[in-house]
Amino acid sequence: MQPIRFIHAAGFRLDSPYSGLRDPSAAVDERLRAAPFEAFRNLQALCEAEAPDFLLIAGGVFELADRSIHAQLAFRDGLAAIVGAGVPVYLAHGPTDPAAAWLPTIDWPEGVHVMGGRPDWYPIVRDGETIALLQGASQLSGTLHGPSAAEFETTSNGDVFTVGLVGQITAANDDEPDPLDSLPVLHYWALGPEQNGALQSDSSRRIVTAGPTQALSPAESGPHGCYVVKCDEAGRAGPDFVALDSVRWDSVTVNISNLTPDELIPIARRAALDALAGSDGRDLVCRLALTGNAPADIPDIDHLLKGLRDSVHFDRPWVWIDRIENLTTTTLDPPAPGSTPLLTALHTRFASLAEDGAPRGLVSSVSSGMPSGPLNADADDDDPGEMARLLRDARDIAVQRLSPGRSGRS
Amino acid sequence: MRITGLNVENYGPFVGLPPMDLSTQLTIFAGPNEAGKSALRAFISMVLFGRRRSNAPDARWFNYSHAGGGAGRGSVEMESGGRNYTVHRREGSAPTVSDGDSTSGEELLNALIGRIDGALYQRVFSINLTELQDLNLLTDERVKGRIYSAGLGLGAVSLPDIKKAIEDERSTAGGLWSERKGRLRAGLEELATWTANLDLARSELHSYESLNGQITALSADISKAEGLRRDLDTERERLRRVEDLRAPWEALGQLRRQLENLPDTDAFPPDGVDQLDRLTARIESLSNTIRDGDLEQRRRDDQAEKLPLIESFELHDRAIRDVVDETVVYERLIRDLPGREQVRMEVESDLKTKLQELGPDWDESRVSTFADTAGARAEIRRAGRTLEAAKQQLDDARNAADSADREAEGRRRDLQLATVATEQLVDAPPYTVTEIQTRRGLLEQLRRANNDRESYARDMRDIETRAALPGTGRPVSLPRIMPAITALAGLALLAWGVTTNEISAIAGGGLALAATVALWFLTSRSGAQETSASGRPIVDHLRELRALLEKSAVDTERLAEALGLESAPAGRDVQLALDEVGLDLEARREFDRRQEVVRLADEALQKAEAELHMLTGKYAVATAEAEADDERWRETLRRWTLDEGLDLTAANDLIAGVEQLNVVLARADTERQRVNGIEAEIDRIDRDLMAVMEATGSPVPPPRLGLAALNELKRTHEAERQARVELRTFGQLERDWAAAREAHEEQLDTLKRTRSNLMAGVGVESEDDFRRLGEARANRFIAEGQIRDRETDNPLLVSPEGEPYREDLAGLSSEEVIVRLGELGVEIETLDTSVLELHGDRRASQEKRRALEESNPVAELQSEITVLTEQVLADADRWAVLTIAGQLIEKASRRFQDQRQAPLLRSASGYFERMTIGEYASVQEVIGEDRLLVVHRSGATKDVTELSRGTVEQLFLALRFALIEEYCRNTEPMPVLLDDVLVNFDPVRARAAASAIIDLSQQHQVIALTCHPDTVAMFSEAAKAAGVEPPYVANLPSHMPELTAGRDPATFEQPVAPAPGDSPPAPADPAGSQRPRTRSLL
Repeated sequence: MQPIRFIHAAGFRLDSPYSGLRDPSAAVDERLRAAPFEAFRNLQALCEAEAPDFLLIAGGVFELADRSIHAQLAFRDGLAAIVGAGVPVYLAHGPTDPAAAWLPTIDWPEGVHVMGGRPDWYPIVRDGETIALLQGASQLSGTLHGPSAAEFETTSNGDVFTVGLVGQITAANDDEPDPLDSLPVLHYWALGPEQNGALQSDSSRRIVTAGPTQALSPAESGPHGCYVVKCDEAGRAGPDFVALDSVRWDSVTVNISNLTPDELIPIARRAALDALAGSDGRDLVCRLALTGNAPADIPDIDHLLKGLRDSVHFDRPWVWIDRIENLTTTTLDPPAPGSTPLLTALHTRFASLAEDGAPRGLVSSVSSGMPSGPLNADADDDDPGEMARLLRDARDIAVQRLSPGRSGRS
Repeated sequence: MRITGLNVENYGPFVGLPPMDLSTQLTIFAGPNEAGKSALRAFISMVLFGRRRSNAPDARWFNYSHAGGGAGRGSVEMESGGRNYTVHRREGSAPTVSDGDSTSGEELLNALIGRIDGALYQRVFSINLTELQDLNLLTDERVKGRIYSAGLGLGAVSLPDIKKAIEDERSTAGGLWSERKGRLRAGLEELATWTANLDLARSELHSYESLNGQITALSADISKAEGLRRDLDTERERLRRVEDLRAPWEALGQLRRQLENLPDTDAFPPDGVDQLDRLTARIESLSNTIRDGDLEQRRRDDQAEKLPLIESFELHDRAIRDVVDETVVYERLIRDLPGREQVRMEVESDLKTKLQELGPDWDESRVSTFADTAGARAEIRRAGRTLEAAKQQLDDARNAADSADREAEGRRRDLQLATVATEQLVDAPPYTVTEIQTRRGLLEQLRRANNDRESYARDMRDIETRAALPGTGRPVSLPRIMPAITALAGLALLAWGVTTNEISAIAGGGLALAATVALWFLTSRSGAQETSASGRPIVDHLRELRALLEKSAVDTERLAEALGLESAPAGRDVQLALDEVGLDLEARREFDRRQEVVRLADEALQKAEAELHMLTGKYAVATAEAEADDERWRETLRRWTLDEGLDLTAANDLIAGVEQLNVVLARADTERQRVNGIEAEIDRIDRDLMAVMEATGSPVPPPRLGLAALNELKRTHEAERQARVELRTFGQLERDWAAAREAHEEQLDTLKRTRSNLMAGVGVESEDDFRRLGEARANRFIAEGQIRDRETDNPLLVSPEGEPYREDLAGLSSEEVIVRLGELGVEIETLDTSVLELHGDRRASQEKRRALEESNPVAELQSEITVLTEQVLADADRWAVLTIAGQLIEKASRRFQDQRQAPLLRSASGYFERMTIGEYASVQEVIGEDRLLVVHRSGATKDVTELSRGTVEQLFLALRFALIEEYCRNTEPMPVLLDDVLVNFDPVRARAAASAIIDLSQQHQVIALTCHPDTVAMFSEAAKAAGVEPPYVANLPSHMPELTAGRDPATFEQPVAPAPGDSPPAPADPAGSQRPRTRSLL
């Protein structure tokens, strides 16, 4: 068995929108929109640098709903550059970029091999000698099931490295036995990004999911990229992760217990810059969560966010603070002796609500005149943390406004 | 907070009102209408809360014009928390608050009045009839809210305002959500719009492939249309070509037909007509030349016959020309002659006059002779100048001799005076100055030697003196003597002791010897160590001084000997001698100087006398020379026959006169010669003229009158000479013409023969026939050229390729071609439009496809939607938080209000029952309707609208008292202002109300304003009945608009100021407790 080296990538999500940013600046918006393309260009550069024997793309080139002609043509042109560098490409369409979603007229460059709807074998030849056997399949439509595990087969040729390529293998229902068990044994299985209900990576069996190559939401923190897989004579595949992303996402937690208001911005700034330092020279979008016991006179969050943004010099690489979430302790202290009657009453009421966990019901009771919207659609009644936050914010507003001397004369 | 005093500086009718003290319980300002009670109420409001805004509902009750002009101002004294403050305000400005130690501003004032604002104060604490009758008062949510806010301990925070602010942000058009507007609603609507746009943009993705198909189909349509277009273009081009060829084609045919009809002209020379024209022109020209020459010759013959020729003039032409040439000279001579004669006569007259002036013995001959002898004139002048020079030298020698004589006399006097002055110095020393100076030098040396000797002696004495003093040295001999003395004494004692065997003497001698040894040792040590003041050892110094002293003595002796003295003189004598020598030196120097003056005077005298002698000799020589020159002068005059008595000047004058006369004489001779010459010339010309005139037979003019004859002769001679020249020219011309005419006739014959030969060559005899034949040849030539040109320009008319065109030209008419071209134009235009549209469609499709390829509107829309979604989520979150906060605040405050409502109404019920003397038992609120009911003592209820006016006012006064108590339960109490609130009460209920007010004043400061004296009495009685201090009463006078300090004080009273620590002060007499305490304000 000849040693080979290939790259396994998936989930470029070209032209897919980012989400979860409240008021990004124009520069941040432009950078984030270009980030998936830049990750794809980074893959091209990686192919030129590593000169692998072949490149496997396991779907996820775009998101089905956000597919664009621009993305498809850019992908095609990028593949042309890769095969132009002498790296053959094997492409399997996945559930987010099924074959039917591609432009019918798109012409793939020579050297790009697109998997069909059913698993099939493709010999991969180097210098006239077959170095690997590839068994791959594409998902043809977004509405149809993709190839099932049972459709793949093993091979009797044990002298050649075998690799499977498929965007996704879904479990048809909960009753179905683990499809992984039905997958034939190959030296390496190259799968696309994990989806809901999709199979998870199983490193012990060399079933590896790749992608996405670029994070597009606060939930996708950390590095994103592809795998460079090296296989030895014994057929052992060793995938090494290589980051391709150009913008990182991160969440930073800052414990503000025992801090004075004047210390908030410097401490938060330090935390943001530390996160930026850990982003390997990439730009960083981060959310800041304040935890711990909040000072009594914590500044307005918007004011704090603006001050923090102003304190962080926006230069390459930059860090963009999307928002600051106040996750400080929500425990209500009992009213101090001599508190005003209303504050005492408010405390009692809030304490009761906090115990009941029923602010959501309160909101619902007064929002009957409001049509369905994000509030009704997205609010999670079962999220005790969210409810606690709502309650705490409401309490803050009430206390702030009712405190003499804070809101001035009416 | 309680008001303790007022200081109205300028407000309403008050100007410079004296400071007023107020009771901290009840103060009554009493006075008639327009006394200024309401102005005081407004003044307090102005100081505490500022001037009302002009658009405030109650502005007209509180904003006064001020009698003092300008802005109202003044101060209010107040007490709060045990401290006193003074609040001063000027309308339109911020207040100043002073506590005696420091001054603050609005913030402190707000704190002192519990942060209550003017409007709320007015609604709660300030009560007048109008406000009392305000039925909306108790349902005013703002008032209720503020009351409860105060009850809730929120201080100046208004609970209604908070709820309103939350509700404004949550559910108003300017907030998050309302029926039709709101930021959240707008965000959702915008989100829907963007989402729709996103769907639309996504749908465009599907059009990409159809775009490709459209572009392909359009490209095919374009290709097809463009092919058809090219065919039509080809046909149109061919037909246009046919039509372009039609005209030359038709012209070519016509030319060819024309050529066939022309005669054969091959023998006709190419330039035959030109030759004929040239020959004919030359023949005609020659004929004309001959004719013109003949005419000219006949004209010249006629002119020759008319020429003015005179025969005699030809014979005497030379003489005539000579005399005529003299005409100008003759004319000038005749004209100048009179003038020259006049000049001559004037010169002769002048000559005659000057001769008479010179003297009778002078005539033209003598003058001419004298004037011609220039040497005589020069000799006389030279002799005269010599004589003058000799006389001048004689005068100079005489003057010099006189001057030398006077100089010599002066020098004699100088010598005499100097000699006398010298002779007067009889005491002058006999020595020379050098000798005296030498003597003085010796004396000077002698004086210095004496001084040195004295100095040396003095120094030696000083050294010796210092050596003798303890510690300063002593004489050199003393140390040496002392050991010797003690040694002699010791030896003597020893000797005497040995001699006498006296032990004591022996011992004394031993002791003396020991002392001798000691003294010797000490003396030797001290002597070796002592020095003089100069630092040198004394012994050496003394030795040196002594040597100098001796040398000085020797020098003195030597100098004395040199001066011729027997011994050295003392210093005083030397100084006297020096003085004497100095006098001698001065005397000798003066004597020497005077002797020098005498010597110089003697030398000058000798020199002057020598000069006088020399000048005297010169004078004698000059006298002799002058006499000789005088004689020579006379001799010269005599030689030139002139008077010997003439001096040089007179002789010169005479010679000048003769010379001038000689000039006049020469001029007279010149003029005489000129006149004679003119007359001789005139005569000669007259003679020549007479000879010519006689020879030509012309009349002879008289002498000197021939000028006219000369001029006529000149003119006639000139004309005759000109005629003769012309006659010769005519002859030459006649000969020339005869020769030329012969040559012309020969040339004419030749030309005529050539023309005849030309015409005969082409077979014609006349010029017209020849020319017609020539024209035919030219037309043929032109036609052939045009045919060639058309064939060259339009090769298709003759080439094989042009055959189809020629067939079309032959087969199609021009009209048919034009019609077809028109049809083609329409077809092409239609096709072009179609192609353009196809191109436009394809370009648009391509642009659309390129836009789809290059950009992703979906992504841009997604970005917008992402941001918008986050904003909507944030707004929704905010809405939820506000909703929770508002609901909880509402519920909490409602519950609190519910809890406090009963005590409020209970309190109001108590006041109401008290004011109505128990007629009504209580006040109730209709739950859910915000209205009140009163409960009669019988248990029946009544709506407020069923009560009398007075009872309604009592009800609301009770409610206001309850509100005041409620408000002040948890915040700063404020003074209550009552403005005649009892006027509508019956006396019984008024007294009851007064009693209630007295009770209220024990807890809250009350300031009552009234124009009813009974009210004052009522309050006093109520106070007395309650056993409390009587109210302070400040009586305001009537007609206050212009009240100022210094006006009648009798009617203006103010409360007695309470003494410190005794507030309020006790009345002056026991009965005073029943009367109001009053005091003049001034």
